[in-house]
Amino acid sequence: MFITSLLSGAIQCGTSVLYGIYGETVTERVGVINLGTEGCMVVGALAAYVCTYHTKSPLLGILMAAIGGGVLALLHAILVIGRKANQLATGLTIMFLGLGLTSFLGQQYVSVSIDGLSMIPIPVLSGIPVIGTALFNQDILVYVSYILCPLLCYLLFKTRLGLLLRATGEDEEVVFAYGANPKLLRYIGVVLGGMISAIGGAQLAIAYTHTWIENMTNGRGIIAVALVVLAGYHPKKAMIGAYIFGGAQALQLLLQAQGVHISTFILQMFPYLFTICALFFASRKKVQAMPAELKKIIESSANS
Amino acid sequence: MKDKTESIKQALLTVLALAVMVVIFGVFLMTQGVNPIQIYGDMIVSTLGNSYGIGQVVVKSSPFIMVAVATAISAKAGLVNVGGEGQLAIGALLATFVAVFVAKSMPGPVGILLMLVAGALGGAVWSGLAGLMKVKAGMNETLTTVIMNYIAYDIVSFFVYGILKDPESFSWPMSPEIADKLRLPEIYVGVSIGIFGAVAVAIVTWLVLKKSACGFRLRVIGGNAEAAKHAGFSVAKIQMAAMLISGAISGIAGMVEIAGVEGRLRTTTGVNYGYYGFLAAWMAWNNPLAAIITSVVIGFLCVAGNVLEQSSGLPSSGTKILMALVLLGILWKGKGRKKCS
Amino acid sequence: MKINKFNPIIKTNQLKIRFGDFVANQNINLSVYAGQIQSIVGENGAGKSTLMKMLYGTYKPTSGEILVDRERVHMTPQIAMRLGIGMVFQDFRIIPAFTAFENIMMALPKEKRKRPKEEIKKEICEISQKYKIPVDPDMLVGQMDLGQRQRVEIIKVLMMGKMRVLIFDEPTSVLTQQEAQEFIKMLQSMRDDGYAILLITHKLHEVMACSDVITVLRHGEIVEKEEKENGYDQERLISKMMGGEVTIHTDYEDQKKVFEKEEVLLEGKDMSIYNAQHRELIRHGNLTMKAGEIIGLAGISGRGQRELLETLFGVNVLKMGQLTIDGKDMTKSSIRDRIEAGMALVSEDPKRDNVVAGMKIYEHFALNGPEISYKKVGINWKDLTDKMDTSKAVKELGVPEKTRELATLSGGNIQRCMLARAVMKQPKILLASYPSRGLDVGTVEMVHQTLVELRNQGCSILLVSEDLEELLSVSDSIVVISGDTLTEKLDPKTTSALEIGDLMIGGKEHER
Repeated sequence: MFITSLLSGAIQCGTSVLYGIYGETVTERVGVINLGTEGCMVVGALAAYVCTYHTKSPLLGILMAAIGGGVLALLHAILVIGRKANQLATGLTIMFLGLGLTSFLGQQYVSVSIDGLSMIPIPVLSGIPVIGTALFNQDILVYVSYILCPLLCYLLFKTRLGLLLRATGEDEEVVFAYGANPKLLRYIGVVLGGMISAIGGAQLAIAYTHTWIENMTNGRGIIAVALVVLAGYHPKKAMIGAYIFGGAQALQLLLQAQGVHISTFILQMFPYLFTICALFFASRKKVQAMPAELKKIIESSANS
Repeated sequence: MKDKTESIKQALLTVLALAVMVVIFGVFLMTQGVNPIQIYGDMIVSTLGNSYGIGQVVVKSSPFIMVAVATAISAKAGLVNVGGEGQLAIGALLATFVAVFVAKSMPGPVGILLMLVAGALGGAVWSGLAGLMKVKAGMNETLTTVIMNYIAYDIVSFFVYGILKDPESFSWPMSPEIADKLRLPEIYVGVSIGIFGAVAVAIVTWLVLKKSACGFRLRVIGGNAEAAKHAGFSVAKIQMAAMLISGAISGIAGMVEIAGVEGRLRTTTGVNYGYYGFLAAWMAWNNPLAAIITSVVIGFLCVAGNVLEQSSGLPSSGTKILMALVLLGILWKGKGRKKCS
Repeated sequence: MKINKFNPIIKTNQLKIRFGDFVANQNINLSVYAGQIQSIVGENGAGKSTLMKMLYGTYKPTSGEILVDRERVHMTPQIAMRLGIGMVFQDFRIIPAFTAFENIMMALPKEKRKRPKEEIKKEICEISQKYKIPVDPDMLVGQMDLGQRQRVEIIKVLMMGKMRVLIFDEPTSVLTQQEAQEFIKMLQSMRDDGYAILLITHKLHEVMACSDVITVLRHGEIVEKEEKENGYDQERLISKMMGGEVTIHTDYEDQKKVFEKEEVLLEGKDMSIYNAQHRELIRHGNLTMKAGEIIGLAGISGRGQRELLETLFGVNVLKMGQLTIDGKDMTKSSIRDRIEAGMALVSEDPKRDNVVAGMKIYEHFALNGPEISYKKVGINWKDLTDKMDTSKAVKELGVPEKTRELATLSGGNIQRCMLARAVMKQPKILLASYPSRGLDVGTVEMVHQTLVELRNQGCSILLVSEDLEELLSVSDSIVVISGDTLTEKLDPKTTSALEIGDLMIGGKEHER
């Protein structure tokens, strides 16, 4: 059925971006913007792919992805927190490093297919008409992404660590005044964010496409950064943007499969156009939820 | 006195940071089973050791200089324009259109001029869209410009695979070659006058920013948009103008790629140039004159990347790593003492 | 409670702190006792806040020692907290994006955090009932007014541990007169509970009644200490604060030129003024500004002064109402048009509104200052700096060396630059927010002189100040923001500060 496959496709395509949004939400909540999310994701994709290819264990692959993304995010953190480097320029450089490293190291793996993660239908739930297979006949990383939403909400809004992380993004001096270490908290946020984003890359490589292609994230990391704004810096709204993005992409594939004569390049634009629209709608909101420290960074970044 | 020793210290620190990164990359090369000293030697000899190599560096640097200057202009107005990539691509696309469909039967200089205008227009339209989104809706220009890069890439592909495709190219996605008379004059084998244009743009921009009342207004906006507003400036108009000029310059860089370097449009034309230009501007702290130097450095690294592939069989993307490392070194070192403008 | 004269909680010996070449405090010997309210008074810049920040551990003293319970302590905020020393900062250390409860939670010490939420909320309620400081724990701090934020801050500090000493930095500056009275009552009941209270303020008259000890700070040193039991000598306290200059407010009446005919320069009718959160602050406000007139705008701070000035200047759009300048309808006109019509604004926050990072002082004078001339495509800087060198305002207001970077100057110095710039423009209409804030007595006098001279040249001035005495002495007429309305013009000669204060508060009550 068209709707079921569209929905299913939307979730499959969108999940990688969803992880990116989760990760970048955590990062931005501590007052750091990481355009290197793109790099973290692509590194995650390659790390997961290579590890799964050699060990036949997707779980190890996911772990490697998280480590790889975490390391790259740590580099970003060291520069922007430790050395107070310009966040946008550093992020772009990190993105560059990630793309360079993966295309260098991944050359021998290009277009070799692997098994990776397979679909696991959830009993009963997957039997629901129309949405059942779409929502509940998916790979394990999709299910994890469902659970990650309440988990992140809990972490950010119900725990003391979350309170301090958010406070760091609002006013680091206040955090410091209470004897907590805002720098450490930022490191935690940025690295954690990078790790989560990288799992999105892993999903792309070992669960969705089962292959490695150079530059396969193709802007998903940047899009995730943009969709964080649409989600109002809150994990609970991350799915909206991610799945519409995924839907745009799934629609493109479905139309192509049905032999609709529209240029692939036009169809490929849809997700990006959608992201621009999303930014537009986010800008219409009266209350802007951008963390105060991040606002300072964005406003002063052109000339620093 | 104090100032002088301080600036020497800063320069030394920069060199040190870069040296460390070169060593790190060397270690990385060793893990890939090649001799880094030999590779580095090859890189330098083949780029700076002969006139062809130098010419290649100059050719590569020209678009970077222009995009860097473009980036600097928007940065002075307080905007982070990372869209040089897309603006260059659309500029190249429009210039190719003109060359292939309009200027074929025109006298060379007129045709070239028309291509130039088309390139500038293309870039300006692309940056102008981002500018509009910024001043009308307050959308973050960093994000919109990056996303529009991807869209621009798809648009170029659409035409290169479609109506702009060279009928004689079999399945290769590229436009027909533009007429010889539409090519920019060469000053050396393979090196067009584009480099003069790029340097001239940088110098003029520097002068305008430094000396003119417009430049002053731009700097006020970039320094504190609220202050500019309180001084009665129309921030939106000036930012929009800065975006348009910035995009036009990037678009011209795209036109120069077509008319001066490649002779035809491919999907790969100018890929990554926008990012390289952005980073060159950033390394130069948005000073157009310094951007000439940083652009040449990046141009050098690009050309050296081909050497990596030829002499060691390693993927040329290795240079991307080296380039990223060099940038990280500079980011690590930081701006040092605050410079007053 | 009886004061134990022999066991101070905090005692300092010869405390001194230096920033670079500048000695902010020296020879400070201070004792803080339980059950006592001690006020530290002094002019702006006398070093009060610095002293308190040393006691709280934010700053490290250059020399001297701090003893707590007779033991020498190297103070940090964490140690201060453990020793029961809490500080209510002037710029509250709370996060607007969080609720009051979240802010308090964050500040709690380890052993308290573990308790269930309900218990903590209960404690918040108990404290707020005990000291009559109502707070809604689930309200976002960003939606609170400054008085409410202060209450959150106070409860937060009280809950941070077993507090013995409470330091308040200029607590009344954000309060209405009535709120200030309630605040003083709260302090007294805290004292009766055995807290030692340190109160920093430059408003002597507000704290005279409640203080047990008043310590006067001038130029970073203690110059006077008086105790309640021996009776206060107000004259002496004031003169010590000012450093001998007792004449605080000159009467400018005889200096003012009398204008024969009345020329209306600006007229605002039925104006509705909104803040950034789209809340209506002033409803149907009317304002007429005449040539050669200084109008003092009185009101509780944050009640729409800033928004009114910004709307008149065109920073904000006037959505309701009508504005005519010089007889022309300018309701929808741009800032640029208003500048050309001769308007200048001295903002209450020049760092945000005027200062361009990296630019020199003289470069700032090219922005809505004296008329600039051009040399080819560039600005004729020589001409501008020449004008500055010969300007009376630049000299009298003490504008620092013009090649210095403006952003690096102190708030007071930036303020004088901004005022000098506005004066050099020779505006027809000047909107001035707190032009004398952060300046010493001598310069304040100069500022007033300058304003009066400008007035005598036919300029119409709208002056915003927290200091009612200042408004009364300088203004030709006074307009009060009373609740959400603008009052008619009042005559400063026949209106007392008290009456104005009543109007300021009365409106507020009415609104509730």
